[in-house]
Amino acid sequence: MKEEIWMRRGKRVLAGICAAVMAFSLAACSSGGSGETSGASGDAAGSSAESGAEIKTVSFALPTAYDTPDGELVQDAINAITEEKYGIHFNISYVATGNWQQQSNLLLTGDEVDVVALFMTPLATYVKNGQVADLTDYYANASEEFRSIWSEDEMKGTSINGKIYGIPNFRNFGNYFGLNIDEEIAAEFGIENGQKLTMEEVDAFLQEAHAKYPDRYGLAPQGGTCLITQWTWDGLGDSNYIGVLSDRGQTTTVENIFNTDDFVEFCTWARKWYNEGMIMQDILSNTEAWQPMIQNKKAIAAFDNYGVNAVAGMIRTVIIEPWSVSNSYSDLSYGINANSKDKDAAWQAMEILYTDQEVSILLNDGIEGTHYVKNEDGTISFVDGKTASDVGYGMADLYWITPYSANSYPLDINGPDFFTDLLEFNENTQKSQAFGFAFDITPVTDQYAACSNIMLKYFKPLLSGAVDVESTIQQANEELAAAGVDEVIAEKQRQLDEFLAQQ
Amino acid sequence: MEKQTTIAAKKRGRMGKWKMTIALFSMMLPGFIYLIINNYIPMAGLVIAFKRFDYSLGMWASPWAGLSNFTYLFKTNDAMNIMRNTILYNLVFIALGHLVAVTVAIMLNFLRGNMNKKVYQTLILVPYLISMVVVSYIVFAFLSQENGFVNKVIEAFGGQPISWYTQAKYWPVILTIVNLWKGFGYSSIIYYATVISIDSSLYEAARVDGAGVWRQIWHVTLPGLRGTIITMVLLAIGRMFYSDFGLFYQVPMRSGLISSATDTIDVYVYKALTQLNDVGRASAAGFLQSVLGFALVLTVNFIVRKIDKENALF
Repeated sequence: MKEEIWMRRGKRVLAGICAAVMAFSLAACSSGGSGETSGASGDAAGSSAESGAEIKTVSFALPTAYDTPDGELVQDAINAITEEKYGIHFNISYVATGNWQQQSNLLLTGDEVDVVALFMTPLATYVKNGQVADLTDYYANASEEFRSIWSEDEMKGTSINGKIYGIPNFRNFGNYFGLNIDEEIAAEFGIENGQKLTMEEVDAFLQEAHAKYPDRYGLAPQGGTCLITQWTWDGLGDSNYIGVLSDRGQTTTVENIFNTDDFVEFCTWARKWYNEGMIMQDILSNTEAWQPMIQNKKAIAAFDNYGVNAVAGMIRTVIIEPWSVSNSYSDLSYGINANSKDKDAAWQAMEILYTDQEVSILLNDGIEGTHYVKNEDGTISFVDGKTASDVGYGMADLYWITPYSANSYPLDINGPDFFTDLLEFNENTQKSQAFGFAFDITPVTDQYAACSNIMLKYFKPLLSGAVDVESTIQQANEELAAAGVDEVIAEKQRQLDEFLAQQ
Repeated sequence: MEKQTTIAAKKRGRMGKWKMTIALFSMMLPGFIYLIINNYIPMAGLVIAFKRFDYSLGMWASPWAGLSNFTYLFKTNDAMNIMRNTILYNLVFIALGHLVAVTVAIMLNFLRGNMNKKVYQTLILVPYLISMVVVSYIVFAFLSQENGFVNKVIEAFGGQPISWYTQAKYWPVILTIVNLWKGFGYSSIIYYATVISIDSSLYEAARVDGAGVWRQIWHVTLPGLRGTIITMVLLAIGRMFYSDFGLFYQVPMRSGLISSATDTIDVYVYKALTQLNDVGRASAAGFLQSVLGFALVLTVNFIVRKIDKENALF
């Protein structure tokens, strides 16, 4: 009897606790999950009541390399246009590139984002994970204006198995590879912007310049902890470079990068310069950015890959003519979240971002007078001599991130013809034989995971000059073989052959 | 009749007891709710370890993958290496960590003057409060090849500078030192709290019996600390297959060449999967870590219970 009462009471208490827990957790879920979007749709509902038409809210996320405290101002300016013109309300999130990979994946787990940059994760992975929507039908029915932006060939760059999953954004799809040199030193040695150099000439120049300026490093590490990560090898959409096409992608044989002549040659140069004290001894743990090292007279030069844009304080030379890797178009494109609640509205927003010039200008350049002023030649400058990092909205410097900057104004340092130059550059860039191919890791995930750890171990150190080339490559190859690199390469080759056969 | 009244009285007594304890129970409630939400509800997510996760289908509708998400943890030489690293580092950290912490706690107890005690307690806690990223730069200041303090000293004595970040053999020692330096303050404070709660009459009695400082520590302080030490060690053993990600990822400055000595399960999984976005495989690693940790705690607790029932956790 007593026990019974005690138990009943206990049960009641337990039930109470459970109820409280559930109520609490439900409340937490709902507030965490959709607080932001519900607030935004509230806004939209309010303004639609005024205009009488239904306004749809589209969440849009894109990466940025600068703080954008004025992002909301720009968003409001964009919405002032799009709500009236299209009945679309944008909810824009600017995410720092350093957090992009994590944040974008979190955004894609729910329906918190509709239109999103597909960046830093291979497009094939997004597709394999079911994170992005198939856009083929939307694209087929899109406006003429929208479809005229990219050619059919170019759209293959962001298609997988014949289906379109992303829309390329406007940037340089290929790269020159060359040596950037401090402009004063370059002038002193008679080297001009755009001059062609061989590696031997680079070496000769570095020897002389370093002898004259012994307190500066010869080469700043463009790759963070190595001289550079891209050169003449095409990783086929795999930034760990497990199995590459060498020779600027002008071959169709997938090889282990450590066995390619291109790679060994570059590493041998790097090793030589490292031993000569041309490269910082602590390069493997370096965290300094390379541009300020040259601008602050700490280094003479740096290898770099670039399109047609300039960097303040240095000139560019050409060692390798421009070429583009197989995944150059899918490296950064814009797509729609597979979990988006209203994909039609998301697609409409996508068209606006690519075709509405006013919106493009706002998104790329900010607000006139607040963030930039127009110059006579058609370029813009940041206001009051500010820079991209302190103007409050520095996206103009990040023309390569936003969906379609070609509709906006170029920044002064890039020149008035910048966007036409860029178009021309892309046309004249040599494409990898595997252009448009994307490697699907799924069949060899285990081996790939093991190999990528070994690549992380040796790839950059070899390109930094800090380790002996021959013995390190030998060791790396032994470990790679044990981890199943042959299976990964064979699978890559098989997929590539299949892809080429379909072309 | 008499019997009835006693029952009623007992009932009332129980009601009274309940009324008293309900206050205590309600104090437990926030923590309890927190545990349920934070630690128990997410356990449903463990199912992901056995799924080929598809974002558009979600957690429950994604297709099953059997045990295929686990295979990568066992397939390679690296896999054995990271298991070994994780376990050995943890064993060393647990043994040395608690030894140092107990020693420092006892030393703190011998300090005279409140001011002194407060200053020392605060000072030893400082490393614990420093972010690992900052710690990694402090370590770099010591070990940098060009400007590092250690290499400057070596050069001053005519030696050859050492390239610390390219040679794996130094890192077991370096990481152990960093871990001890960073963690001893926090554990010391926990032990110190137990040390000061030991009944001082026990020390008096020991002194009367002619015990010196060492014998007092041996016969009074250490037995008093026994329960706390067992609990702390058991808790640490539950985390045996986990590692301090910051320590193993940040402090070696992500230098690949020394990864054979610095990769633990967490770091390896992070590096291997950061590009693949493979939620299934990442969950599989977490699942394995917790299952192994759980098994280990059960085993050790079982052994403790055999030896000393009172101090076992459960």
